[in-house]
Amino acid sequence: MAYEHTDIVVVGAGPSGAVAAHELSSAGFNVVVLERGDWHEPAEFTGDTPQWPLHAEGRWNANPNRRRNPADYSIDNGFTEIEPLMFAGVGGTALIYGAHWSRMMPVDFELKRRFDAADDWPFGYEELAPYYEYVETLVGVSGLSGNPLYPDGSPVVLPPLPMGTIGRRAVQGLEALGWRWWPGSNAIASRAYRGLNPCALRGTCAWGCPEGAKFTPDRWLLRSAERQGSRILTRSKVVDIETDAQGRASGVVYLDAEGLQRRLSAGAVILCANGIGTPRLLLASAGGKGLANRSDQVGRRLMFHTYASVVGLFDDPLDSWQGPAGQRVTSQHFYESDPARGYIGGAKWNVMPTFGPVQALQRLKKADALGNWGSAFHRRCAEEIGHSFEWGIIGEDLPEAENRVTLSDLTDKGDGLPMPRIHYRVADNTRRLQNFHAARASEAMRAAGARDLSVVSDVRESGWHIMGTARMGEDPETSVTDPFGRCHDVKNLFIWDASTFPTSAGVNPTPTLMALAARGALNLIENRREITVA
Amino acid sequence: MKLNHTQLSTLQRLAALMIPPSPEVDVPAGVLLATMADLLPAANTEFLARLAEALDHATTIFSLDALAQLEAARPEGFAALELALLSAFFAQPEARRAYGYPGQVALDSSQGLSGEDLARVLKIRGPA
Repeated sequence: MAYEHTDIVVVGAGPSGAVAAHELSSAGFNVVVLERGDWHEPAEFTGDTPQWPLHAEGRWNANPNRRRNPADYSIDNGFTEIEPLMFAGVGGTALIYGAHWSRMMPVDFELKRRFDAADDWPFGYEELAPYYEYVETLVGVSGLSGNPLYPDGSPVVLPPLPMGTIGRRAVQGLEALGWRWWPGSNAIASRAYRGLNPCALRGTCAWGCPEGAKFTPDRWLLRSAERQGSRILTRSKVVDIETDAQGRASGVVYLDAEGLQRRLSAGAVILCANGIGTPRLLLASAGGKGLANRSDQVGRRLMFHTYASVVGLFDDPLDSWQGPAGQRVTSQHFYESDPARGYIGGAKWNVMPTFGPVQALQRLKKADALGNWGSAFHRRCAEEIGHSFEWGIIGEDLPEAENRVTLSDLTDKGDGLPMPRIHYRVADNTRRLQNFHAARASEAMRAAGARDLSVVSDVRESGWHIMGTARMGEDPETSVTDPFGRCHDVKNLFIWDASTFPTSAGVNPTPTLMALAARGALNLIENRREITVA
Repeated sequence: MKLNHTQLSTLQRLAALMIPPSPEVDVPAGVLLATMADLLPAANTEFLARLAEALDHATTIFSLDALAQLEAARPEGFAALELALLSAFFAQPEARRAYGYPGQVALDSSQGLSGEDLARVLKIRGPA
C-alpha cells in the first residue's frame, strides 16, 4: 500500500472542509484534503439550456440514489420517511444548494433552558457571532444589515439582491396580516467579490450556478488553500480511519482515482463528510467496531429539516422563473416557539421562484391526467407559467435517539464499505410544526392575492440538511465531541460538519457549520502543540 | 440506452395526445419526438429505463382516460414521460414565446432593493 504523511488530513471538500483547509494552511500546517468527487467549472452547469430539466434528473440530481455519479455512495433508504440529498464534488453539496444564508437565532441555542425541550448548545449566539461574521467575509453574503431579530442585526457584506416581483407580492401578503419579514440574505454575490461574478438572476442555483456568482468553496476558498500549500486530492474515497496503540488517529486509508488503496498518515484527522458520511466512516472504522463511540451517539439523533412547500397561483404575471433561487424575502414572524401551538421549534419561511415552465407546471399539477394534458395543457400554460411563487418552510427537527444512521448489510460497489442505512420517522412534534406553518403560509399567500394553492407539508426528497449524528457536548458519556468538535475518545480526531449540531434550529445549516469550522480551526491552531506534526 | 422503434412510435402518439395543437402554438408530435431524441442523452440511464418501461405499458393508450390509468399504475415512468415531453415542448422557441417565457436568461441584479422596498424595510427597522 502506498504511504504518505501530512500534518492534517481533511475528509471532504465541502464548505466546512474548505474552511478547515484554508484556516489551517494559512497557519502553516501541511494539509491534504481528500474528496470523493471532482472539480467542476461553471460551464458544466446547464441551467440556462433546454437540457436543464433532464440534466437535473441525471448528473446534477440532488439525490445520490437517482444521480449515481461515480463519486457517490448509495444510501439504504428502506427505513426512512425523508430521503437525504447531497453532492460529492469539490465544493460539496454547496455546488447545488440554494445559498440561503441565515444565522441561527439566539433562542436556537437554548431550547432546553427556554422550553425544556431537546438540549442546549454548549455555548450561545454571542460566542458564535464573531465566527459567523468572519465566514461571511469569506462567502460575500449579500443582504441587508440591521435585522431586528438578531442582537447584532446580522450584518452582511454585500448589498442585497433584488426582491423581484415575487418578493414584493409576498410582502404585500405579510404586511396585510401585520407579520414581520426581512429581505433575504444569500451566499450569492450582488457585486464582483473575491472571484465571484455578480448574480445574473438565472434562477438555476440548485443545479449549479453557470455565472460563478454563487459562493461555493471551489470558487476561491479552496484555490486559496491550495496557494497556501494545501493539496486537494479528488476521486479519493476514505474507507478507514486508523488509530495507533495509544488510541490516537494515525491517519486514513483511501481509494485513489484508480481504485488503489493508499495510506495517508497524519497528525490530526478532520471529518467534514456531512451528517451521513461522517458517522458512516466512524462506524465502519476500527475494523467495523466503530471509532469515537463510547457514548453510543455516533449516528444517533439524525435531524433533517423537513420541508413544507406552499405554492400560490396568481392572476397577474410575476416573472416567477427569475432567480435567484436564494431567498428573496424571509419571514420568521412565527419563529420562536409558543408551546400553546402544540410543538417546540422554529421555522423560517423563504420566498422562492417556481423556476422554468417544466418545474412550475409540475408543482401545480392537477390530480389526474385529464386536468393536465390534452386541451387542458395549453390553458394551464397560459394561466400558470410565470404566475406563481413558493413559500418554502424550513422547520426545526428535534433530535430523537432512534432517528439514526447505521451501517446497512448492503455494500456500496464504489468504495466497498457498507451503505449508510437511514432510520428516520418524522416526529409528531415536527408534523405539528410543519402543519402550523403551512397553514399560516397559506394565509399569507391568500392575503397576497393567490387564487389557488398547492400545499405539501412533508416533501419526501427534502433531506438537504443532515445534522446531529455526532453531537457535541461537555460530557463524554452523552456526546461524541467537545464544543470545539474534538472527539472525546480520540483527541486528534475532529468533526467540523453539521454532525455535531445538538439541535437543528429552523434555518439553513451552512452558515453555522462554516462558523463552527472556523471556531474549531482557531482552537486547533491555538493548541497546536498537542498535535504531532511532521 | 436507446428507445426501440415501438417505444418511439408510442412516444410520438402520446405526445400528440398530451400536447395537441392549439390556437397559440402548434408543435407537431414529430418535432417533439425529434427534440426528445436530442435532449434525452442529458438524463441518466435509470431515467431512460423508467421512461421505456412506461412506454412499454402504453401501447394501447389512445385517450386521456387511459393515460390516467397509466399514471396511476406507473407513477415513476409516467413522471419521466411528462418531464421528457415538457422539456421537448419548451425547447421550442415558439412555445416559449406563446406563453411569455424568455428562458433562464441573464438579467442585471445590480439595482438591489428599490426605494420603495427600502421604505418598507424602514417601517420594520426604523432609521439606521
